[in-house]
Amino acid sequence: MSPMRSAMIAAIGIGALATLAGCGDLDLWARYRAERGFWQARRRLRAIEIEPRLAAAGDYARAAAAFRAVADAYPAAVWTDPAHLARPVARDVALLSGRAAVAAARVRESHGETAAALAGYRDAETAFAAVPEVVLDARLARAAALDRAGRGDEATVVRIAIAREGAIVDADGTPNADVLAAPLRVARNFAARGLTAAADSTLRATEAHDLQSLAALHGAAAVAVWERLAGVRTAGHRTGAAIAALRGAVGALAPEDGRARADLVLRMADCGVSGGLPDSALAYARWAESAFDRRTRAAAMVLEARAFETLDRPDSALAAWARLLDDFPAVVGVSSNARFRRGRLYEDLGRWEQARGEYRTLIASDPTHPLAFTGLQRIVAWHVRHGEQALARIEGQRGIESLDQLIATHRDEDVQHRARTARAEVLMTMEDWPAACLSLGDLWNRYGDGGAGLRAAEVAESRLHDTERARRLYRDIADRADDAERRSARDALARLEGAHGP
Amino acid sequence: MNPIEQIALAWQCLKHAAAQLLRPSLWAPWLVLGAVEVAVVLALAGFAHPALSPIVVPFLLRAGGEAALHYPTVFRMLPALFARADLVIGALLGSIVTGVSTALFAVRYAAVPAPRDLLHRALARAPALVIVSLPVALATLVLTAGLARWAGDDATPIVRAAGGIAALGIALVVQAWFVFGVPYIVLAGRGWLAALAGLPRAAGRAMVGALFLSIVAVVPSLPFQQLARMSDTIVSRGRPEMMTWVTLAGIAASLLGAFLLTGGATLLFQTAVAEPDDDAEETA
Repeated sequence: MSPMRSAMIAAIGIGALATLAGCGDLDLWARYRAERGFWQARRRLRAIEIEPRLAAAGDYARAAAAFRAVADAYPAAVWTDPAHLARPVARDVALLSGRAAVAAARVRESHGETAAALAGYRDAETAFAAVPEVVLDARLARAAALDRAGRGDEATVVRIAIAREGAIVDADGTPNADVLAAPLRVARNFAARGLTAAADSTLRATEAHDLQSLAALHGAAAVAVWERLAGVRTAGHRTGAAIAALRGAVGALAPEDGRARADLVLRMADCGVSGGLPDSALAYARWAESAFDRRTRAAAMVLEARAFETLDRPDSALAAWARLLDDFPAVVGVSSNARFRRGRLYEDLGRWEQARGEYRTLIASDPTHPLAFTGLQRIVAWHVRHGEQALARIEGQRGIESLDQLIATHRDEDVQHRARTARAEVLMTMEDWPAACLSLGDLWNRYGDGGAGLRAAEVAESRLHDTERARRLYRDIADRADDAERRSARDALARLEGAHGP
Repeated sequence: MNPIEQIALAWQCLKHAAAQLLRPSLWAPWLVLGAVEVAVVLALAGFAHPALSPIVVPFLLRAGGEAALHYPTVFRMLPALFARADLVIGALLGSIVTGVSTALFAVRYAAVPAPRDLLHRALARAPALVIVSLPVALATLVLTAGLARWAGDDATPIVRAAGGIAALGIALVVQAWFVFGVPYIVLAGRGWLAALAGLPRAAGRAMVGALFLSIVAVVPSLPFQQLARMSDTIVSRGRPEMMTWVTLAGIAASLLGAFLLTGGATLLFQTAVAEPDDDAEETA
């Protein structure tokens, strides 16, 4: 081939490539690069989340900078204009950019830079005002951050905005759980602050809004709104109406949605038990027991037994728990709960031998279950309450030995924590003050349990009369614990220093 | 020849083919095929670039749906996407490359200089080469699709593994059956119909040897096929772009296997299958 011909072919090829480069989808290219940047930033964050204790300050800064780089590369001023948002792929870029901005703020918050994070959330909300998904993300993050910073009032204001302006249903028809939950959280917050009228008003407004929107909804969205309506009515202590709402949710389900139907029937039974309608609870529990799968049956039998307890029919409750044990003997969580409830019922009926038998069987069959620890404490406490100090000491020693063995043989952090907590409680019940103080102090040192630390200090002060030890504990708690415990420790220190001098 | 003799002969043919690994002239056709396959992989990996998206995106949409246009999904799907494209590349270009390579091996084994029009003569037989190679491509397609359908989404790992082994076994047998189709066309000068008609006789004489060659040829690419099945893990836990390197390494391993298979099959054909009256054009 002649050089001239080769050069012509090369020129045609380059020209064709250049033309193609202009023909390509620039939005797709932008989205690809934004997704790649976001993915890489998330990888940095995941590396921190795997072991946060090993993460350095630089790691957080780099992760935040990686997210920030995505947001800066695709600025809101450009990508949220109507022309861009009208194109689906360009809209994805705006969404990624906004989410990156929120993620960058989240990283800063996880590193303790709360003020900077809150500012970042506010900026993202403002800059991406035309992208509702980003606005919702930013608001949810800001509300949660404000809660964590102890600024609940401001968090409530943000949640009111979410409830008012957030879309219940996403663009693809999926119910938005955070938007649905927002009004209930607002009402709960008002109620916790004693603002009953505001809480009631929020619940009423949400109920009216839901009833109105249900007319136009179907499928998963309708089910979600019926369920929220049930939650609103439960929060307003209207159990019958809440159950009616759950029946509405069942009606909105697709015929093949057996799992969801079973869960809703169980919820109706649970609603009846918690809301003081045990007869209704029994009816729904029996329906759930007969009409669905084995897993639902177990949960239904638990609700049936609880309904009998609420109806103050202990013998029927005992029989129901016994039936559960017969049908599900090997399902550890279920049988442990059943044994503990039988123990409590026997205890309330004054049948201590049978109660103790149930607790001992529970401890033997599932020693690491939380209720096993509670059962052990109840055995010791019963003897103390009935003046049987010697038996209390024997049972207490036996319990301590088994707890020590658990602590020595189990590597699971949760099991160790529960065992150590139970140990401290048993020692407190036995009034073994030196050992109890040591145990409670150990909980504070190991797990940062401020409550246990305060109790250790109280025992040191009031039972052991060891003021110096009490002061040391209070000082430590005042330095390292959470706000409420820190305040209590400071007050106690001030009291001690007032009484005994610095 | 009994099976043991066939395997021994095939082993010798393989050794002779392996000895040619360091001859660049024999690699040339495979490099062309390799270049096309590498270009396809790089185009798939870089699909979003404006210079490539007009061509690659329609293929991705058809093969992988909208999800394939997102990072890093394209890397999860890269081995499967490339395998689809490679079926066509292999059937069209791969068969021609195998024909040219067969002719080059024959010339090399005969220790004579290659005729000037060797490439031209091999390319002139391109339609016949493509037709004779189609059954292997179709069998691969049917086995892959059939296995996926039979296993279903709920199949246990052991069922999937057993299915995969069975499919591989069947594919190797099909390949062994058709492996002498190209030498019949290139070396014996037959048309595609006569080449296909000669396969039963060839199988009768050297099927076990051909199967041995096919098994050895697939070995280099097995580790990369296994890595390709782990694309989800590699993308989630490692760097998604690693899948590009895995696919490229798989291509290199397949080309090595194809080189050895072609060289071995050429010599095995000449030794055990070719009839005295076959027209041995390339070695004349």
